Amino acid sequence: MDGRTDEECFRAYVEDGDRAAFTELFRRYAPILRALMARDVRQRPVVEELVQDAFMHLHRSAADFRQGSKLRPWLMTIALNLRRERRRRQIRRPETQLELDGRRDPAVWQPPVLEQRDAARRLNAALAALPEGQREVIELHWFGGLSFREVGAAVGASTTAVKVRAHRGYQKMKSFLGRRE
Amino acid sequence: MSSCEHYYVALYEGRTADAEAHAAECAPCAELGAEGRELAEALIDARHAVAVPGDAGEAEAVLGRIDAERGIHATLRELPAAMHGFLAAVVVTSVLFAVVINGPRPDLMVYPFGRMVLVMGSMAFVLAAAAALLVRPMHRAQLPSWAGGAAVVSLIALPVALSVLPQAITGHPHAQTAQPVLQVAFGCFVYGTGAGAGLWMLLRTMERRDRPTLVGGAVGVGMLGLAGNLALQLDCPLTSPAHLLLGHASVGVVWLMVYGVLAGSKQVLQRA
Repeated sequence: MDGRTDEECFRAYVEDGDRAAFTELFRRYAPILRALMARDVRQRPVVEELVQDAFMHLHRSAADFRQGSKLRPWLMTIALNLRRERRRRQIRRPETQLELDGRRDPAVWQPPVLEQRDAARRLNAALAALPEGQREVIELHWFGGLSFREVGAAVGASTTAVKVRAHRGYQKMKSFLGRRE
Repeated sequence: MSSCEHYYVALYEGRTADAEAHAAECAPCAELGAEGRELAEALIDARHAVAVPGDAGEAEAVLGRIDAERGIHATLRELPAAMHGFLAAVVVTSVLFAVVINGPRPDLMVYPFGRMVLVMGSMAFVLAAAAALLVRPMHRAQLPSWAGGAAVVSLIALPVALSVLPQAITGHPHAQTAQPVLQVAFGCFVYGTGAGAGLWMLLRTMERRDRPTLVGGAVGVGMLGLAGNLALQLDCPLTSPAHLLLGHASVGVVWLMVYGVLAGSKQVLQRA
């Protein structure tokens, strides 16, 4: 476990080519990004590819990273934008799952054990039922670890607008969870 | 820790006066703390669920991809986004400078100044706006989805609209030609394509995505057309609307159609 902050790790990677620092960032953020992607994508190889792409973009945009910037909102915004672009591509070119002798495609994402717990499964279902704008705000805030101000910067909206989306999203999720009980 | 984070802790560990004061001002937190606490508990539990850390082998795979990025493509795409915009401006300016040095349109001294400012200014403005959209880095919030479509329409519609304005000059000896209309128009189409190709190639090389988006690709092609039109405005003395439509505005339209056909075919092949 590396004691450096995210920003220190990233600077060490960019300025000194410290590969261990990059690996540490990957260790910290890959699970968060994987979970973010997996809420939208069920194909495991695609999830992994999107996570790798997010880190590739982080590397390619390193020259834009300014002193005092926070790495987490950067990476989460990149991941969110990659996920949106992929969704738009999917709308034009829908993906079909393989059928193997009537069994499920083994490449289809199998949720981790924790996600299979009933409460978590119901939470995911409630999230999935939300409009995209509300879902993104709640995901970035709760699972991306961004403040509402940072979420606003990531989705291109004011903090107030983001809070309104979260509020409405919570109301719908409560209603969804209430119906299922 | 933000006030919201304090409130989530308070939901778990017992509410304090500070937490209640925060909820009174923060609508989402108030909603979470109101009736139906199941949601708050589920969200807090999900946040604290132990996640499996990223695998070092996967990190090595990404580092391997990074190591494999070499050459001009890697160098250009890793430049700051502001530098991408600057380089695009340098390429367009260099082409225009080369056109002027090589011999500008023979009627330049008598061409209405206001009309020249209108044409060049509006094209430069739309080109700059499209470039800002295209080089917008991934770590910034995406613009609304209509912005890309609006850019493509503007890049194509502007030269068409400028072509159908009343002729700027009619009496100048170079304002008409005895050569066949289509032949002259084809010459301008090729010239405009050549003038805009440099910008298009630069934009493609600077693209940080491995695969440009469909709209992003269309904006790049539209920019090729408009950059070509800028060069033609300084080079070609023919002012009839028919010529401007067939030889100048067509640069963007034709290449956008080619792009559309190629992109559509690629999708059909991928589906198959």
